[in-house]
Amino acid sequence: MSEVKLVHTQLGELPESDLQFLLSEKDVGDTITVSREWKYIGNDPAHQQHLGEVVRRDVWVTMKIGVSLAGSAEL
Amino acid sequence: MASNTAGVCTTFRKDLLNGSHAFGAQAAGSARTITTRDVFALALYRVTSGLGTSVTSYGATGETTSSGYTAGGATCATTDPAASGNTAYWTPSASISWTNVTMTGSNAVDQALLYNSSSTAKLAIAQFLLGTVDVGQAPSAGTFTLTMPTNDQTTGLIRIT
Repeated sequence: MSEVKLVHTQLGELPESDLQFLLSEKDVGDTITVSREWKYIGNDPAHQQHLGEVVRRDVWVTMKIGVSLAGSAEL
Repeated sequence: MASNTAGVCTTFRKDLLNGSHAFGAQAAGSARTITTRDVFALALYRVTSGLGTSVTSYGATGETTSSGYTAGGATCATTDPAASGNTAYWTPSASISWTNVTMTGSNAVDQALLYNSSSTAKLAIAQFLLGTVDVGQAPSAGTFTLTMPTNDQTTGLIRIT
């Protein structure tokens, strides 16, 4: 018997099979952002009002470069 | 609505000259002996906070709120500053993560403020934009992680050239 994998969401712990997983990456300005989202696609009557909604989102922001005090004569 | 901006805070320039920050320890024989470096922290701000480089210290106004996130943000793991060529640089030595946070809607964040948590005034150092300005990042019941740039003379978080 296979074990049901649960994912923590705004709706509580949900079976992974009730969720659609999406991964996106954006390179904007000085950062790269990776988002990992789970949309609810299950058929539990208690959660039908959340059908198609993102119920969890993880975000990683990688800073490509910091800030500089530049100019030897103008610290 | 004024957008958040990135840059070195003006007060940091003055505070450096006043010796207000100790990014690393300093042995006897230097101008003064510093046995422990200061503690630095990163706080997250809402898209609508309108923070610019004129900010002088950490403040809770405009800061995001969420379970899993404590006002004042999180402490940076640090190493001593380094130098290469004409550039000195410093970067926290590890990523910062907040787990099980929800920063959606008006709590979405597009800026982080680095400040000196050891100083009484919580002196501001610099601000960093996080992705698309005015849109922001919106973790939901999930993890929000800030990964630092490579710690060298061209990309370090704080560089003085």
